[in-house]
Amino acid sequence: MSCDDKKQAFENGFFDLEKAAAASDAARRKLENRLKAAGATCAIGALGSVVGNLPGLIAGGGACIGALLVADDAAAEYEKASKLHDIAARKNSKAFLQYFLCMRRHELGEPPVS
Amino acid sequence: MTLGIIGDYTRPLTSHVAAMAKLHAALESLAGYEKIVEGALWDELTGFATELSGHADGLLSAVRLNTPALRSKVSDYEQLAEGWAAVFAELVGAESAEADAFRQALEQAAQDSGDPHRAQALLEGEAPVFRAGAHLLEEGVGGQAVFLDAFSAAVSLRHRVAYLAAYHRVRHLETGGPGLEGELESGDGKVLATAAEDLSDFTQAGLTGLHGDLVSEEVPLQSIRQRAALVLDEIGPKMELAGELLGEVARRSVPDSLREEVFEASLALAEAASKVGVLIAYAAYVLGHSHGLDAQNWLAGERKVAVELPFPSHVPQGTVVAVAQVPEMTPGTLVELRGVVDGLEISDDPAPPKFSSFVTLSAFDGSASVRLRAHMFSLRANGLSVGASCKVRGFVRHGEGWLAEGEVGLDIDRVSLTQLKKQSWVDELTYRMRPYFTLYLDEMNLFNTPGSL
Repeated sequence: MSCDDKKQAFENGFFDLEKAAAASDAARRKLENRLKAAGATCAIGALGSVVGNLPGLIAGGGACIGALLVADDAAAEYEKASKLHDIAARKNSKAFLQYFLCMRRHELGEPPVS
Repeated sequence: MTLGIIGDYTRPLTSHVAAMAKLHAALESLAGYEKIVEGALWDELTGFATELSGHADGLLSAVRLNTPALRSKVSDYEQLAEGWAAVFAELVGAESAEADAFRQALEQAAQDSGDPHRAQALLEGEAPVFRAGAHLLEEGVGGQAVFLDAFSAAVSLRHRVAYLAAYHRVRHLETGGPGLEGELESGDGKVLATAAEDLSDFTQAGLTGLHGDLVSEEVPLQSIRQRAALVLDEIGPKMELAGELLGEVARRSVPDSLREEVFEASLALAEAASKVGVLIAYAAYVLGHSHGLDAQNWLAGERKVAVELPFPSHVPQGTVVAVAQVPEMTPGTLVELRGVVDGLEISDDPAPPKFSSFVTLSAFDGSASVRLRAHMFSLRANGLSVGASCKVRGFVRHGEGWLAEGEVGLDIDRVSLTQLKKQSWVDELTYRMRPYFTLYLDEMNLFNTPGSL
């Protein structure tokens, strides 16, 4: 019996998933930093002080707008990265099931007499 | 609000170092199964089962830690997005000169960035920044998928391996205490039959219960999860007992007077120990997914399947006949036989020219035998052994190239779950759970004891 080809496909898929996860993690961290920066630049701080703080937003002026667009760019990058992660996760799951389907086709019977 | 990045379970599991370490260890361990089967390393099975149990716990705990933490993070993102959207909505409606200036500056900046539509998207709350929560959730679901697959695989394999380990452990005991040696006695067949009935009832009750829960919209996720957890709590000792009893039958000699009763009951126990594998796999699948980030969507899918499909299996049964009756049967008839495997070989099959497994199945009393063919499959690789008790369903054949002149044999039936799954919830489950537990190996419509008896 050999499930080597299925195992290889799974390992390749798993490697791709780990790569996609690292990229997505980096994109998410970047987004979080950009969101914090936008909040600070637009003088509307954290969540609790966002609502109803239009004056803070306006007072931030050009710097605030710049920070907002940078945060939005980071969000777009994260969106892309998370989609790639999703694709990799689906492929990996499929490869996992194929690999284990192969492995579970075999079972230990009578061991050789020693 | 917590948008920090420190090592916590708010991130998808695939980005969590400790969780990934658990997953790597579990996958490595699971892959070890192939080596054990190839090397027939029966004495390593007990340790392997224990190892798998530990990995299963670790995988489930990672999912359980991740789900509430990541949900809370998603909620943070969503609240932040709502807050920003509210401020932008206010900006759109504001009539001050400052607000006008800000809007114009935003439009200009968007224009300068090469995408003039961005300003509008931001003002209307439709820019990517507002969707971060949804993407984190999606990523979290994807990140849990491999953990949930590995969890179901580890739980299912653990119980099957524990059963096989118990069989081999007892069978290979070199010495036994008083009462543990010698022939089986009258009454031992009854013990085996009771264990078989208990395990079979357990499977039926477990599957019926889960199907009933899914069909009824009133049964909440928590109750379904509890039922699955209960199955997994109770199954361990039952599988150990099944393996030990069969090992005991194999280790001792069976007097001729008890042979039929003991072998029949052993076979029923082995069949029950196989069929419960589907319940174990599904219970693990349910338990894992019920703790996952996508639990509600997953449950809706499971409910849909359960509502659409009637419960009973449609796997062909055939007419139950004795081995000696096979030559009297009309060619092409599907029959069900029980007996002992007296011969098992792989050899060239005349038409088409490829190997097949050929089995000589003898009646329990040795009065008759019949040859069976598994066309182009290795039954040995599926765990069938000479000396095993076997229940098989197949089509009566006369005049085939692999039969001697006048000989009547059987082509083993293949269970086409891809078709059957359209008509039965149990068959659909049996099909879907195959990566975790394959009930009909190579689709062969047969059940056998784990080794010789």
